[in-house]
Amino acid sequence: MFDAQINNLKNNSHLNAIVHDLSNDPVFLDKTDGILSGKSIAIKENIHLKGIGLSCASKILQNYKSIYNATVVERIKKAGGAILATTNMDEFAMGSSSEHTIHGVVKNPHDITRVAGGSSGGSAVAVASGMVDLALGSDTGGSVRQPSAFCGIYGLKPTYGRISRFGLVSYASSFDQIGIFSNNVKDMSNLFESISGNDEKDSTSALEKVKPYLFNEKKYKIGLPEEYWGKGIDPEMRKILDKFIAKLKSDGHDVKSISMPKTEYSIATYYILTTAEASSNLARFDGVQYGHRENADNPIDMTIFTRNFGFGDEVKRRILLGTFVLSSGYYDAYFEKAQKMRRLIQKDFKNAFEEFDILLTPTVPTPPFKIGEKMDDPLTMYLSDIYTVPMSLAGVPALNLPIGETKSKLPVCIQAVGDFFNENELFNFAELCN
Amino acid sequence: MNSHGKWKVVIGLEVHVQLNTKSKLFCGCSNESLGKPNSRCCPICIGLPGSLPLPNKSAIEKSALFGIAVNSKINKSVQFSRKNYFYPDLPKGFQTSQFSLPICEGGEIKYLHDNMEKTVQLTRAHLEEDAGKLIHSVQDSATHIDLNRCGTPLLEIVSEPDLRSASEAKAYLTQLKQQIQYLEISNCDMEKGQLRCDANVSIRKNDSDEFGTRAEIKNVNSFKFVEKAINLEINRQIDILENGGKIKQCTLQYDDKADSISVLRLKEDAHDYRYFPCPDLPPVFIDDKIIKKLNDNCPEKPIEKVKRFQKDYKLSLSDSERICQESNFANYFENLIIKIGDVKKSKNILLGDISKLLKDKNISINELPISIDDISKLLNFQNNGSLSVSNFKKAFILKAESNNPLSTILEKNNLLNDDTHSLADIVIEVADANPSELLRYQSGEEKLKGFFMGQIMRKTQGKANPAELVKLIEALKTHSN
Ligand SMILES: [Zn+2]
Repeated sequence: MFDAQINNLKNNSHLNAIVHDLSNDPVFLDKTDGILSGKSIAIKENIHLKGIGLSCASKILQNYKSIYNATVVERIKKAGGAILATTNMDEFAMGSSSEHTIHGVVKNPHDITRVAGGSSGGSAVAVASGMVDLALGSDTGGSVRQPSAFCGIYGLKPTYGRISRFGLVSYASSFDQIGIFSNNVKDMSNLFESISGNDEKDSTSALEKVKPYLFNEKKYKIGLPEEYWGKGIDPEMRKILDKFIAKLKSDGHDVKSISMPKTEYSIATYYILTTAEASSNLARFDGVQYGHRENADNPIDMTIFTRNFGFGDEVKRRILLGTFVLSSGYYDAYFEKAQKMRRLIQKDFKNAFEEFDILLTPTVPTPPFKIGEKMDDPLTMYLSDIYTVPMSLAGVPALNLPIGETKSKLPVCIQAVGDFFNENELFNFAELCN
Repeated sequence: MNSHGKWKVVIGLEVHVQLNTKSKLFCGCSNESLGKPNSRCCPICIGLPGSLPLPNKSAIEKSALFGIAVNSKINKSVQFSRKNYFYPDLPKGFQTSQFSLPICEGGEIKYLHDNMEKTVQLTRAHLEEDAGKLIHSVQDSATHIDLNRCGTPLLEIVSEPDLRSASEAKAYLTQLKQQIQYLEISNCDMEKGQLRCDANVSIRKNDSDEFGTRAEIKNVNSFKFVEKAINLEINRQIDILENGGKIKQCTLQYDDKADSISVLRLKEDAHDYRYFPCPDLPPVFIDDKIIKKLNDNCPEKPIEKVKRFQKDYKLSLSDSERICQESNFANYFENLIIKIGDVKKSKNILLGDISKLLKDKNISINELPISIDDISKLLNFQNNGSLSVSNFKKAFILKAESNNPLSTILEKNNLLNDDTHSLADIVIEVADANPSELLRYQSGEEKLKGFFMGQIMRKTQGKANPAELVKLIEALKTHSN
C-alpha cells in the first residue's frame, strides 16, 4: 500500500516538505471503508493530529505535541483516508514562501532554487511531487491557492465556515479556512465532501448542507474583474492566460469584463484585520503553560523574553502591526474602517455573482520567485498575495487550477472564484477545463 | 447624610458574580468550585492552540434574567469581545468579555438604608469568563497556577456613581446579593469568591458639581471589608486634599489583615486592553420566546416582598426583612400560613424553633428535617392543650432527629398529657359510631377487638396507651347505648 508515495516521500527529503514522516505506520490506515479509502493524505503542521508534534514551524512550539484531533482529522478517519505526513509551512501560517520556518526552506519541485509558495508550501510540494494523493493546508489570504499555483496543482480555499476550524491553530480566525491540495478534481471533491459541513465544536462553522458533486456539461457565464487583469502580470504568463480565456470564448462560454472597484483596498484591509486578530490569537504563546520558555526573574519578563526568542521576524512584524491597529486612539482609524471596507469588498462579490457563475483571475502575478529573493522586502512579499486576498476578505470559495507552463517548465495557473457555498461549481468548471 | 464634613463622597461599584451554571462559559467543563488544582480543565478553557470557544446558553439566559429583574434593557444580540492583556493566570492572553453591547444595559436596584428607600442606577451588566488562580507556595517558594477557575462565567454588574457613603455601598451590595439569590443565578458564596467587588471612590467639595479624581479599590471579598476599605480611602483622599495635594487616578488593594489600603498601580501604568469583537464567536441571539419565558419566571423582587409582607401580614420591618432574606424562607412562611391559618403563630415558630434548628444544624430551609404537616399537628396538640410548651419543643427536636412517625415519637416519649378519661371517651365515641360492629363484638366476635383498636389509634393519632386501650375495649363488652 502507498509504495509509490512512500518512495517519493523518502527520496524527496531535500524539498523540506515534510515535518513528520508517518508513512512507516500511516495514521488511520484501514480503519474504515469510505470514499477516502486507499487515499494517502498529508496535513499541514498547524492542524492537530493527536500524539504528533505540532510546531507550526515556530521555535515557540518546537517541542509541543498535540493532545487531540482536529475535526478534519476525525472526518478523514471516518471517510477511510490514511495520514502519511505532516507538512512544512511558514511560521504560524504567516508568509507566502514557506521560507519562514524552523524546518528548512521548502523547495519547489519544478525548480529547487525557487520557493514553493506559502504558507502551506509543504502540503503543495507533497502533492506535486507525488508523496501523497491529497493534502490539507490552511488559507487565510491565499496560503493554499498561491503555493498550489507555484507548484502547478489544484488548490481550493472553500467558503468561510465550510470546514470546521476546530483543531486548526488560529492565525486570523475570521479568515482562516482549511483548504485542499490535489492532482485531480475527483480526489479533491471527495476529500471536500468528507471534511466539510457543520461542526458544533466551531461556532463559526456554517449550517449549509454539503451536496455531493456531480459533473455536468454546461456553458458558463464568466466574469473577468478588470482590476485583476491590468498591469503587473508576468508577460509570458499573461499570454498563456489570455490563450486560455480565448479558448473558453471559442468553446461558447459567455465571458465578460466586470469592475470590482474596491479591489485596490484589499491588501491594506487584509493586513489590518488579519494582524489585529493574529496579535490576539498568538497571545497565548507566553511561555507559561506550554511551549518554549525563556527564564527570567518575573513573569512579565519571562513572557517578553520567550516571545522575543520564540517568534520569527515575520510573526513579530504582524503581531506589532496588529497590536498597533487595535490600540486606543487608532482602533477607529484602522480596525473599524477596515471592517467597513471588508463589507464593501464582500458586496462587490455579491453583486458580481448576481450576474456571473464564476469569476476568473490570475492566482499569482508571477511564476515562483527565487528562494531568498523577497525575504528582506516584506511589502513586495505582501503584494504577491494581491489576487488571492480579496476572496478571503469576502469569504467566497476559490480554486486554483493548472492551465499550462512557461518555457522554463514553471507552472501557470488560473483562479476560479465561486459564489458562497458553491464549491461544486468550481469543481465542475475545473473538470470541464481538464 | 454626610459624615465627612465639607466633602461629598461619590462611590460606584463593580460587582463580579459567578453564575451557577452546570458548565463553564465556553466549554463543557464542570463549573463546580471544588476539585484538585487543574482537574476541571480542557483544551478550550486553558486555551490550547487550535481550540475554539462554544457559548453557554444557560449563562446567557441567567444574565438576561438578572437584567429583566432589575429592569435593564436586554440586548438580544450577544456579542463577545476580547480584552487583551498578559498575565500568568490568563492562558489565552485575553479574557473573553463584552464591550460595546453588554447583555444588560441600564436598570436599577432599590434598597433600604436607614429606613429610607434609595435607588442605584445600573450602567450595565455584562458576561465574561474568569481567569485562573496563582498560588504562591511557601514550601517550594514557587508560584503555581490552578486553571480550574478559568472560563467560569461571571456577570459583572456596574453601578452608576450613585452611592454617597460606605454604609450605603454596603446596603446596596446586601440588596444586590439578595436579588441575585432570589433569581437563583449564583450562590453568592463570598468566601469562595463567587461575589467580588471593586469600588470606585472619589470626593468633592459639597458645593462643587465637578467630579473628583477617582481611585479604584480592587477585588474586595466581604461586605464588611468593602465598607472598611471605602472609609479608609475616603479618609486618605480627604487627607491629601486638605493638605493641598492632588488625587492621582490609581488602583488600590485592601489588606484585610492589616486593615489598610495601598496603591497597586497608577493610571499611567494602566493597560490598553485593545478590545475587539471576538472573531471566534458570532453573536448569539436571544429570541423573544426565551425573553418571555424569563419574564414569566422572574420572581418577586426581595424589596417588594418585604413591603408586601409588612402590609399583608402586618409584620414589623425587621421581621419582614428577616423572613424575606432568603426567598425559600419567605416562601416557606407563606406555606406555613396557609397550613396553620395563623400569621402570628407561623411567624413565631419560623423565627423561633425553626430558625434555631436551621442555625444549629447549619442547613437551609429546604433541608428542614420536619414536614410542614407534622409542625401543623404539633401546633394543633398545643392548641387543644394536650401538648405543653416545653413538650412541644422536645417533640419538634425529636421529630427533626428521627424518621419515626410523629405519633410514635409522641407516644414513646409520653409527650402528650396522658388523660385516660378522655381516652375512655374516645373509645365510647368510636363504639357509638360503629353500632353493628359493637353488636357483633358484644355477641362474641373477638377479632373485632382489632378493628376498634385500629379505629381508636387512628383517631388518637397513635397516642393511646395500648395497655390502657385493651382494658377499655374489653370493657366495651358490657357497654350499652
Ligand atoms: Zn474546559
